[in-house]
Amino acid sequence: MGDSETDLERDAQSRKAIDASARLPVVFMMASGVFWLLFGTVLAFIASFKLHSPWFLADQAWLTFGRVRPAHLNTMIYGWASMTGIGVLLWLQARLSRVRVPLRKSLIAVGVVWNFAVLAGTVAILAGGSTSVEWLEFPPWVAAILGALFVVVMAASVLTFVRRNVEHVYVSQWYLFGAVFWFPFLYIAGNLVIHGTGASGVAEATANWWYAHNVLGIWFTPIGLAAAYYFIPKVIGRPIHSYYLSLLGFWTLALFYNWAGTHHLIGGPIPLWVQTVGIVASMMMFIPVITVAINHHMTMVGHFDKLEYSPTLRFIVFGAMSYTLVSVQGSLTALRVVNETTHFTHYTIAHAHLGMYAFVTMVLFGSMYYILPRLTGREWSSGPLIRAHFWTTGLGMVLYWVGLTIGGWIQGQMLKNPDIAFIEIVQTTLPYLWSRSFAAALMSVGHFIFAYLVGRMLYEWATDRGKDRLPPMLGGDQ
Amino acid sequence: MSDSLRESQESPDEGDIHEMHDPIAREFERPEDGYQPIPLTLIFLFFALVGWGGWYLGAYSGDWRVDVFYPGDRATAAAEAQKESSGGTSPEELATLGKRVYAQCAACHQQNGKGVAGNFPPLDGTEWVTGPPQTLIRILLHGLEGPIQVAGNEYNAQMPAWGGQLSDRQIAAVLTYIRSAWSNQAGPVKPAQVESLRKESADRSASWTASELKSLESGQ
Repeated sequence: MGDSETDLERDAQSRKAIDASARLPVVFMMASGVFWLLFGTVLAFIASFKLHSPWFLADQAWLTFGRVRPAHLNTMIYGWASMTGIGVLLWLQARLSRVRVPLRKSLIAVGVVWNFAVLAGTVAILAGGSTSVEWLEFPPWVAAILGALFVVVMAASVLTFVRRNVEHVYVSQWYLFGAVFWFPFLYIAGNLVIHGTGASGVAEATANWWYAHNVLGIWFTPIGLAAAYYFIPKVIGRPIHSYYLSLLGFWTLALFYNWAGTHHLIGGPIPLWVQTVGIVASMMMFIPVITVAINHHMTMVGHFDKLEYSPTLRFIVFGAMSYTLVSVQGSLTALRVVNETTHFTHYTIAHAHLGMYAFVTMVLFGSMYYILPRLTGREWSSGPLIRAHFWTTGLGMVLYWVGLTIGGWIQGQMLKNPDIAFIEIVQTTLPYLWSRSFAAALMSVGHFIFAYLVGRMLYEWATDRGKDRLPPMLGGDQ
Repeated sequence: MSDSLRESQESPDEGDIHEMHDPIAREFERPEDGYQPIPLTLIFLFFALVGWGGWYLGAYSGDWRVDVFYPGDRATAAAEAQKESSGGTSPEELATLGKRVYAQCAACHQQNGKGVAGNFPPLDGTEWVTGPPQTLIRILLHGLEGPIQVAGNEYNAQMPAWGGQLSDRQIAAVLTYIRSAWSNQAGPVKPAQVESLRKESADRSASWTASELKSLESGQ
């Protein structure tokens, strides 16, 4: 913050101390995240391939689509994205509050138990013990463990914030504070009403979509936006465009996102006004989305050339742009005229991946490219491999989205015509399903490249090698 | 480990090669906020959007009732339902309604009326459909179980009873439709016929069997 060299020195020393405190819990969370990313990738590929080639691995009950697909979703959500997201969240809050990460031993224990819980839940799903509630397929006892772990994460993050050593609370901190308050509540409340007796029948469906939509809306989105708000100005070295836009964006997100989930039930047997509230809230999401998009874009203007050098910036900017795109698409899809075509089609799957992958996952990749070298003191080992990671996952995602969006739209138009036999519709979607598997293969290659990069870095760290390597992409800060 | 952070730290911009390759030292400061104002146009746009939201909420509120599920007011919804059970009874009107009701049958008997070989019998080109309407009405009202010969093949499955869910007019409509759809060319069925058979068999709760129906048919 200061102008003199001693201030800068002091800043670097304080960063060093904070990163030292974050090292074990954050690296453990992120390494576990990468493991679940690979695990979920394999499941994803199996599920995708089955859709056009149903004979594939069809004679094992535990590998049938109905089990592999929810197993994929849950390992990605609770394994990859949540664990890595928690790593990012803990590190960001500590860096921004300028205090060391508290409850370090508990956090490592949380990470260990978390892995076992996700493993147990996944095995339960594959063994046929899924609860069949979308996004909450883990058995209730696994959910109880995860709920308790979320509370510990919440305590650590709140404690970091409360002990902060800086006067000015930066916008990323608002989002992180929101996420750790909203999500543990959502997770526990969602599980209680759905697995308990609180909601059944139509009310259960409503609670289900309130939960599922909010996992993205008030857990992954605030973490992703906090990271984007941090890394964009951090990497390019200029202030965020407008504090007032930040304020407007945060509070309108907090106000509207929570209501939007019932747009998943348009046309269903739930009271009309419940559907309408979801539609209106979805449209109101234009306000935070446009606000954040302007704020990020105006900060980036004049610095787009840095995308060439910084892997962090590349992934984060890709993610931030996807956030705008997925949100605009989501708002429009909530409109009845669009929804009556797209509901129950592959279009929705493309949309969900645009949110969870093109936005959340890409932002998490970008964050890890920044955080891990600082925690391990090792540089990334290969520029070309980082580029390969970016292009395989980026192009894979674009192909995935374009294919399923077009295929899903055609599917929806055909479904609305009662004279078309169902099998004809299934056959029409086949080429699009193949494009999805091809895209999945591309993304899988990217994930294995990334896992190799992370694995190599951690190996060098553990064996005390590779200290002298220069940053792979020259040209300044990464 | 990065414990080797040097004593003399220099600014990230002018760091030498040692500074450059310690990532923690090679950083800009904690991000700060700029204070550009929010564009006025944007504020107007957002107000317009909120206005639209208010209008839409009112227009599609369904009077905030728990029993209105579709856009359009309650009166229209009720009138629709009423019309299905007590609208016109001309063969054309019945066939139009019947096509809609048939959506519930198509899951098994298929949109093309050919059924699924070995599981669900066809409705197209069989005596069971184009023969006496009484038999068909009975099947719809109470269901059918056990072996049955249809178009030269034997089937053995449970046809559910629809008497509880469909009104007399809906049953007459769907039967009129299947008797005239595809290659079938049998005459319409009247709601009154359904009504009288419903009364006649009001006490019955079991499904019919094919042999029962055959014997009733020969008795008529």
